[in-house]
Amino acid sequence: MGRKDNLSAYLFLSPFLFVFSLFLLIPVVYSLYLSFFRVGPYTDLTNVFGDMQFAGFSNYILLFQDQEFLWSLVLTLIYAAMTIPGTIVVSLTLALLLNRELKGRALFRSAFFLPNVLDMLVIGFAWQLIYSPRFGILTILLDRFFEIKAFHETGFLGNPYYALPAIAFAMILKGSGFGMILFLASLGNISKSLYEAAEIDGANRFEILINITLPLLKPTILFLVVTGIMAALNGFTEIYAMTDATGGPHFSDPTGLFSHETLGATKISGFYLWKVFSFGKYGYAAAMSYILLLVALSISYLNARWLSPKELA
Amino acid sequence: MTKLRSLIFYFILLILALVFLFPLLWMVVTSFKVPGTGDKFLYVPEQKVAFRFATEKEFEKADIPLNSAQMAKLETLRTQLYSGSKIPLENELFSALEEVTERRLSQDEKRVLLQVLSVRFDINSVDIPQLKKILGASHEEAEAIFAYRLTKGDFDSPTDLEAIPLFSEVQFSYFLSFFSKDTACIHRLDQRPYRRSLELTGEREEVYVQYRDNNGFSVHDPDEIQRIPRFSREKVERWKQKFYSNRLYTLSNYQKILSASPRGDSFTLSRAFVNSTLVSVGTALVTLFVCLLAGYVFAKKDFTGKKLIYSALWASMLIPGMMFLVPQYAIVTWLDGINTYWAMIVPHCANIFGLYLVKQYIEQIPHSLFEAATMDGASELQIFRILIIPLTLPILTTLFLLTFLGQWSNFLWQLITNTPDSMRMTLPVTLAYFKGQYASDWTALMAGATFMLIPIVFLFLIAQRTLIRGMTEGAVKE
Repeated sequence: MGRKDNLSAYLFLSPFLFVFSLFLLIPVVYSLYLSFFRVGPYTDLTNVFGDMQFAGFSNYILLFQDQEFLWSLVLTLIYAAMTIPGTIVVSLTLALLLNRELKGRALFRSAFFLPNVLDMLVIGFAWQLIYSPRFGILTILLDRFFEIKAFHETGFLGNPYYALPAIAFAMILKGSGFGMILFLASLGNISKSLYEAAEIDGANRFEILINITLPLLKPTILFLVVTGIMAALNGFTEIYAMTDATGGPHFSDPTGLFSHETLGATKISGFYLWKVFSFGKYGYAAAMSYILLLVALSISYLNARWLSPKELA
Repeated sequence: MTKLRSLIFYFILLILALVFLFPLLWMVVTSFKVPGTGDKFLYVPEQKVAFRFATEKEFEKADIPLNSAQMAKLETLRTQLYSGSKIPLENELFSALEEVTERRLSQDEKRVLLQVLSVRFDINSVDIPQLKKILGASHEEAEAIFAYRLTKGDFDSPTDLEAIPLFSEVQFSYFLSFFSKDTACIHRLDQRPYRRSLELTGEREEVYVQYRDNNGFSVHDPDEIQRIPRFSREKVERWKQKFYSNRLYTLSNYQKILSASPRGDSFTLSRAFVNSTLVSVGTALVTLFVCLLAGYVFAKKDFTGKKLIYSALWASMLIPGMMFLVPQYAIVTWLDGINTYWAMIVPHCANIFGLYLVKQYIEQIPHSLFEAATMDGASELQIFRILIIPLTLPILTTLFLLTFLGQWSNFLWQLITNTPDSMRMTLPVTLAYFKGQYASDWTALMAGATFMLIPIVFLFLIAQRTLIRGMTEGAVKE
């Protein structure tokens, strides 16, 4: 079919392109436009975007003076630094454990994978129950077996230093099943002869893992890093569910870098964006989206230099 | 040796699997617990509130001053509440107080009230004055309890109270009432099927029925059975276990959450279930439609701007979803889409990953098939009907399932496109509203959560392979 068939092609393409441009393409442009306007919180609710005032770059300037926003970026970085390596290590471990002849292999694989398809909000609620103070099961177990009483009053999510790691832990358990499936698929593609050759050369198991398996899994690891960064930037529902939409307990900034007196312990950028949005500061939220977009794009650019360009085209 | 090693290996895997499934399991277990025990790990006797004996002074201490008329009114309400052997729930007491003061008590006030008025009826720790004041015990009785504690250690079960002399029958049942909570399940114990399960048959049953008829009681607590002749110790223990497990687990949470409304009107969780189904199925169908058409075009047709459009689509994958929050909301508001189904469905239908899946799949269909069909004079529509749809059915199923699951769990978008009074709220949004309302009613909340996960788990169980194939497709492409 060498000849061009523009009419029917565009006819078939039109439903997709219509939705795509209305809800994905136009928003990118419109968001930029919005970010130069001030939309007040007292705007008429039936005509939210009716009385916008041109504000120039003031949204962006305000954004870089907003301690809460900068703090949310730092928190997002911390969150990503916990979830991404955690997910990769856990899912790789699971994949290596299951990558062998094993009775009931499919059953275990399902058990590890199931949490991944479950609803984020519901799992968040379940973890909140587990982490809860006094009668939360984790609190009781720690108290009974290790005599740790630190969480008795606040629980895990009420403690500013443990709230974010606790959420990250829950998310690692939820997300690792997907990574495991990917690792299992790539492990299955590695040819047996490579391992046999290494064994003949006298390499032990650990050396095989470091020198043969890991380099061959690099594309999968990079893929998990990219999706992990996206997940950290998009992180909202887990925070909403586990902190009752508050953004976690407040605590004084431990580094002294932020002048703000109290900062939400789990207010990562995705959650903060929603907070700003829910206050009706749409212009400000749009400006924030753009900064986050730039962050995401620059990370993607760095990643694209490692990922083969085939995958993008 | 190898056997031991594989045993250890399986053990590790089993522990890991339990850890992974723990939130789900704990959620399901909690959803069956008796209301109020949801955050409890083991059965712990309830903390009781000493409303029964609280005086004006004590209410003043809790910053709720009552005048004498109000006190009198409260007195009658309290007598009603405490009638019989039933112990009222905290909430019943609070609502009695609210009725008297004619205003709503804040959470803070309730907390203070509990602190000031509550007494932990741990019979192992209260002292003699407390025993006398709170339990209304006589001096001798209080001393007897103390003597028991000194000589024999803690009371381990209500039965131990029997070892204390001097107790009248009434007194005894009054003490016991502090250990029992739910009268409904006790009455259930008196029913035939339960008696059967406890092997209360034949001669024993006759004795039991006779005893019950003579003494005019239906079993009020597990210990009463002990007073029936011919019962072995084990029998009593078993009866009691049944009793306690009956008190801990119930189906009532499901009834409650399915019929309750998060905002007190006709909107219920069942309605939200219908909404969720409509939105998820709708999104899946529309996505299939647009992705199938577009995927076919990208796989088999050549047209101006193909490369450009395709790379534009791919580039949009690099944008984090949160970024679309504000402008998509603006567009939906502008199109008057708040509280409508289409606003929840359409924005997610341009699924680029889905397009990619379909395109990959159609590319594998040999050209000769299409050429043969065109030669036979088939129109594009016929090609779709007889060729593409049947051949791409597997990938369409995969895409349908993935979209369905994604939309079933979608929270943020459906939260912002529904106002709090919307009738189109989907399950996650409704559940979040429930959470706000039943802040500490974990059992009901977990029942709702379990209810919501049923379709997901069901789909996962029947279509796991399809799902996994769809999710790994494109992620690892060598």
